[in-house]
Amino acid sequence: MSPGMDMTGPAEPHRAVNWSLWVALGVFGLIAAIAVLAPLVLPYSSAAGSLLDRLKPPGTLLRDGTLALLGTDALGRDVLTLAVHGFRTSVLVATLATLCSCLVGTALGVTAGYLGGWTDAAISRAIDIVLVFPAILLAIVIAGLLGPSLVNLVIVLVATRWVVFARIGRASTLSLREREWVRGAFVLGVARPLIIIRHVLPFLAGPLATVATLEFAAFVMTEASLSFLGIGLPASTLSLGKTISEGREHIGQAYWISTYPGLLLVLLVVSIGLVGDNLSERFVSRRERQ
Amino acid sequence: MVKRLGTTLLVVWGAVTLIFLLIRLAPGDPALVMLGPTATAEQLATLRTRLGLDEPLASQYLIFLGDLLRFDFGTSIRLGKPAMDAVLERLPATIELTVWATIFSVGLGIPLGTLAGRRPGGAMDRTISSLALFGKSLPGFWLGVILILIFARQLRWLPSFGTGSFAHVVLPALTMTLPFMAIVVRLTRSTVVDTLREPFVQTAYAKGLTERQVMSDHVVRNSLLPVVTMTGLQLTTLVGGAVITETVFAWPGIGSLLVDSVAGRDYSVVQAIAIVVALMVVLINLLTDLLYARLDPRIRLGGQQ
Repeated sequence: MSPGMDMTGPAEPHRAVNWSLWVALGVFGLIAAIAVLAPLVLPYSSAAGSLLDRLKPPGTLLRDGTLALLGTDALGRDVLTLAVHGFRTSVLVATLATLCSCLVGTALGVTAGYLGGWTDAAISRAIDIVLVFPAILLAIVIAGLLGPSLVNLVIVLVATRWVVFARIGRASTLSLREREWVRGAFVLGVARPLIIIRHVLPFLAGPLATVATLEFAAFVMTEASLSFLGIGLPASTLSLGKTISEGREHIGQAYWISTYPGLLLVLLVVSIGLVGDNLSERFVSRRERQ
Repeated sequence: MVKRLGTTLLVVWGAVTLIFLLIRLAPGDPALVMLGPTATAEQLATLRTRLGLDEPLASQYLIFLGDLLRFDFGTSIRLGKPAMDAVLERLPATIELTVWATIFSVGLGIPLGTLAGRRPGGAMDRTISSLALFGKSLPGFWLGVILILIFARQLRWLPSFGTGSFAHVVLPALTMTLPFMAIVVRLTRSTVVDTLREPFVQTAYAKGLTERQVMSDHVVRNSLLPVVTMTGLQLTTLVGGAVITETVFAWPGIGSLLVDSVAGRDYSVVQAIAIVVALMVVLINLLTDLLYARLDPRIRLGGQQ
């Protein structure tokens, strides 16, 4: 899962890559569209769903005349509506977590890489320490301590994954620091914060975008896993993980409750993964050419 | 090597401190959290004194470290026994699962990755790489539920929970294996592709060796080292996967214990698990480093890189 590993992948220039990028971007756009537009098409109300319609298989015409394309759950709620709204939660949580951890991680990583010395030693050890724990374990512990809420969940995700951004930010800054234009700016007496903003940060965009894409997928997975375990989000928030967990109790009679939301989750993660792979290939090949 | 050990000890100390701070600085009174809302003021006061919560944070920390050195991780109120005993009872089951998953992932992942890397961009590569991306993206908990649905409910071939026989291990181990195997496949593939570009591969072909000989004697052998090392470092991911898998299959390991303990606010056990897992990860990383140094003649013979 570590993006650092993915970047060891060599960049052989094969032409087949481009169409997969476009397909992935297409799916990605579709996902964004679903996340934004879904409530207009499939409004959710917690009162919706009649117990008389419970555990109906996909394609059943419900009592109120609507078609349950993916069937209904144990409370008679439409699985497609649940999945799409859970999906919105995933995208929202992952977007917030990616932005925050990118900000925190990059700031710390660049500071460590640029300043060096004690600052670098302290931040690097902190990264090592966080990496000793499997991310999901740390997430479970912190989420359990903080209690369920959307903000807390984002805090949990950032606390466990900022290290990935910090590592890449530090490594890139270390090599950038020695480049001519950075040294030149230093010799000319440009203030350090300005050097970092004007002459270092722009060159981090490629690697950071790659890591951000892969982390987005990791955040979607972690959010779903925590919701599956019943920690992280409040019980009232719809989430793919929660729907899958609830469907588990009825897996014998109603396979669709767990299966389809899970497939949606896989589709989301695969398409993000494709974009991430393309980005990392591009980023690595550019570095090799230099 | 001495420096490496020093860093390792520093990281272990840091990890332990992190857990201490997390649990002590979390909002809420640990005594209230442990005893629940029905506790009387008297019970709370007793527990606070017993846990040393009346002391300032610094001395709490020293007491905590002192207890750790004596292997005293506190008592689990929920289970009514020392926290460490509860963890150590469950640890073998987790190790069993992790070992099987490692065997499956490495045993299948390295051949598949080699097959994919042999002709980069070829049909085989594209098939295997796509499957690996798909496998890497499978959420463990969903995969577990689907495997139960297919193999336990529909086909009735394998049990969906419990322990005792190899049949019980198959589904949970498979759930942990597939995403991890995908990682091994991708690693192997990229290493094999890199190795194929080495001059010695051309030399081997020029000598007139068949492709089979070149692959097995030169490419795979030289690719194994980085693959084994990277796999070792990625085992953290696998241990994380165990937490989810155990919950799905009601597997009696430390992962399901962790989830139950978090739900039951049993922080002495949570603390003990976090420390045991951190130690395991540090140990695996250290062993991987040692193994690497042992296997690579360039390092073993004291050369630089």
